[in-house]
Amino acid sequence: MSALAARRLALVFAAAGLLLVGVGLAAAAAEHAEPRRHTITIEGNAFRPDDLTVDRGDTVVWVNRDFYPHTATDTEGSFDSGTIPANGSWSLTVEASGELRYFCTLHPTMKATLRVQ
Amino acid sequence: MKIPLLTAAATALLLAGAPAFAQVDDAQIAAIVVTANQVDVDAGKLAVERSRTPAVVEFARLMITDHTGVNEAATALVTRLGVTPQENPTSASLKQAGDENLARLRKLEGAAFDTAYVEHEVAYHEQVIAAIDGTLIPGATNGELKALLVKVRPAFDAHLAHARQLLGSLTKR
Repeated sequence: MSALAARRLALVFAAAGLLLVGVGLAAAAAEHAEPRRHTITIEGNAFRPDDLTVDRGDTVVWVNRDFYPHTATDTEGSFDSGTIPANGSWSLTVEASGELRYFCTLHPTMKATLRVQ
Repeated sequence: MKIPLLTAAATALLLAGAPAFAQVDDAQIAAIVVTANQVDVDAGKLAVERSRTPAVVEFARLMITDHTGVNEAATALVTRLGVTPQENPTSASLKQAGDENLARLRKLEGAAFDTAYVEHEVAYHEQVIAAIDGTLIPGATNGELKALLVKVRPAFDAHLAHARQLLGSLTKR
């Protein structure tokens, strides 16, 4: 193979590589754009996880695994689940970004944070 | 105030595992759990009926809901496990202390009722937490029964914090 042919071949490979990277990035972006579903478990009078980061448009589901009701209530009033019964759940699709601190109105020692980016 | 506190202290001794009751089996634990929750449900029902203070009524309603929920779960579990709750000195003492508390509260009204009810709730939750940690969780041999006790313990902590905060607000009135 001549030096020129070798360089052309290298260019072809480089271009193909860039193309692959580009396709990968596009796929990642598309995946990122798809709203996701997150679960927060309420158990033992705690939100688990107690600090969760999600994207705008994602849905968050609170599942109550305790034997008695709880709530997930934003301290600033942007959302309030109302009573989530034992073994019940409540979901919220988050629209606005920001740091949302929430708690259980029935058991105010239960506190957690939802970060929407 | 002295008699109930003495009763509470006697119950605490029993719950904390005085030598004769240090060892409890799952059937006895089941009876202790059911009695402990029922005693607080009964006190809560009286408070809902008698108190005129919204924060006290709200607390009492929470006690009824949470302790009823725990009892339903505990009863369902021991039924599934084929364990028949067995009365024992600790469950009997809890029942007696609960009855005495109700009898005393029935004679009170207004602010005196509120304070006596919430004071007893503080003492009761302290005792039950001590029993869960010192006697019930260590004594449970069935894994699911132990897990249930571990799972409900934070509720007692939350109730205790709530009762203390409520008592503080009542004594400031």
